[in-house]
Amino acid sequence: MKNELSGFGTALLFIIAGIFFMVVALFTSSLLRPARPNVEKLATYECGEDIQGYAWGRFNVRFYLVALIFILFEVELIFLFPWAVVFGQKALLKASPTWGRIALIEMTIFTFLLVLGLAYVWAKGYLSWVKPQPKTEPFESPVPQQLYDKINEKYVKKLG
Amino acid sequence: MFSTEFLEKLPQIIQDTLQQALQFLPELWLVLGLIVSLLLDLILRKNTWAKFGILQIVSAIFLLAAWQQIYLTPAEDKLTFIAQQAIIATALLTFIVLPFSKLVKSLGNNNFNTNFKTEFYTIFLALCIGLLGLTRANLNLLQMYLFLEVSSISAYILTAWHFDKKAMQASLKYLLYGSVASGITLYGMSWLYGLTQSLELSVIIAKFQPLPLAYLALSFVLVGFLFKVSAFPLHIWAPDVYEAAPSPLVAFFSLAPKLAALLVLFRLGQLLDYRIMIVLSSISMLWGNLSALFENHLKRLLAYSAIAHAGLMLFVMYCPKTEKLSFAQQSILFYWVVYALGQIAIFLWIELMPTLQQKAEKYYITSYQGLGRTLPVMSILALLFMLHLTGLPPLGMFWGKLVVFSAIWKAYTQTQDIWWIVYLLVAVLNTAIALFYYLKLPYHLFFKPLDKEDIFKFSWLQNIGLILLWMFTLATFWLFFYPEKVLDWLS
Repeated sequence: MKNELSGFGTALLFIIAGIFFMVVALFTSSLLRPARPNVEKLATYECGEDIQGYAWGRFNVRFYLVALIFILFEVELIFLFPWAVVFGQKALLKASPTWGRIALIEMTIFTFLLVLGLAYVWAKGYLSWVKPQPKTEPFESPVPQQLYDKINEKYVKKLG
Repeated sequence: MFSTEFLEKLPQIIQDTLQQALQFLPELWLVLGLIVSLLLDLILRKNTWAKFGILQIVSAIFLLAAWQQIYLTPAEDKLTFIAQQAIIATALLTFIVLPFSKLVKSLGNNNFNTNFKTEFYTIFLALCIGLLGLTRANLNLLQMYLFLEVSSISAYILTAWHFDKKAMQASLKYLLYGSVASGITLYGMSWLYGLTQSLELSVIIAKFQPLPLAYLALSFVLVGFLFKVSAFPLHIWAPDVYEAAPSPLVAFFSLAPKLAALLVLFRLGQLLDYRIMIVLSSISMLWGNLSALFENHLKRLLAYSAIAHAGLMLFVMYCPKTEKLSFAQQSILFYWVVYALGQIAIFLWIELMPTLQQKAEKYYITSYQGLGRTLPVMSILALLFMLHLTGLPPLGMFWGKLVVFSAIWKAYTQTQDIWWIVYLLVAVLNTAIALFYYLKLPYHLFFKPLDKEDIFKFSWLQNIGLILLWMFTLATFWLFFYPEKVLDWLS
């Protein structure tokens, strides 16, 4: 009993093993690789693009909203799988007649509440992404339109 | 995979779990109300007075259903029984104040910033669920934390209900302070669990050993609840939130969450030395009252005074072990009831009273100056409520203060500890300090010259509000002449 690992012990082992593998891998590669850095190579990697601005830049708050809703349903899904596997075991269903019904009702309520949340967000229009409407400044050109037309006419004729 | 022993016990386990869930029936009524109000909000699309009325009535009906349920299946703990009713009553009073508030004034016009959002009721009911849950005695730490978070998060959102810059700022501050406080609480809870190997509060209290580490963990846990009570050293958020949040909600925030958190503090308080309580309580009172002396914004002033009142109410953490409700607890409950009356009345008054300045200057005391001449009735009512909050006869708070002071004296005679005398002196001194700033508003109303002669006409709605104010006034007088009726109910 004394020699058995507790849950914390397992987690600690994982952490130690993780650090160990990282250090070993980085150390071996630093021994083997050629080291010839230049500006391009040292640049921060951002999906292959040239980086723009800083990570602290502002972005639209709607990203958070969509992310939140996404996480909500992802968590629900993650929750549904073990629920089906654990609660649906034959031994449990046999042991108590009400077990299956209660488990089903509980999960139905849970899912209903989540769907209600989605319905709320949908009905209130928080999911529709308002497209930006760029305002075009009225521009008065000092060059009159006829001059352009004349030039066009001239060159189109030439080409023709 | 499962032992046969476990499988045999399974029907019993299911039965027990369902039984435990049924204990939360009042909360479940409110959950149902929350769902119904959200659906109604989605079905009735246009924000009109009719929608506002329907949602208000439906939410009130569910609150009443929860109240009924509290009566039908009374909690074993007497304190829980009383506190839950008090919280629901406060919520209903908030609903009564709501139609007069400036929140709903803009109903019907479709501007994002001024429109009253009817999700209000959904979130408000969630807040009530959290608070009702917190008052229960046989919680385990996880339930306690869940209820704490439900109530806090709803409170953060409701603070921003004016949806202007100031409200957002206050809400964000509240969120930042609050989440740090509840994070510390959760950390302390994990330590308590580690030390006692149990999540049940009763087991933790029984197994608690007076080690330095255990006290550290306990003080971590207290942080979140002291934050809710807005007592020293976690009171800093109060003025900003009170300034920006809608008035009916401020009245609710300064009453119901405090009561719920005080009950938790009372349960944990038996693990602590009462001297710690005396220090926290005294500093809260002094800090609140002395800050209020130099404050000129009416709502901030009331926030500081609320810190001071909360400080005195921390006395509930001192509890000699008795079967029935001890005198100390009764006195604090009575004090809370009397204070609640004054607090709701004064915030209703703030909503009804016209001011001389608009926008940023609105709630400064100077924007009321001289109005005692044009609006004598309202001004006299303000004077009465302020005297009530100070604790002068012939108004109800006089007994509130007196009962608490005598409870402190009783604690002295039981323990013969000089600390109690000092505490009593601090409490009495604070009542004297409070008189100065509470009279600031009546002074400006009556003794300052009037800048411009505006004639304020009350609409029919405001006249109804005025009648309500008179009823509050009568209640404060009634509490002075018949305090024993409430005290009997509390015991």
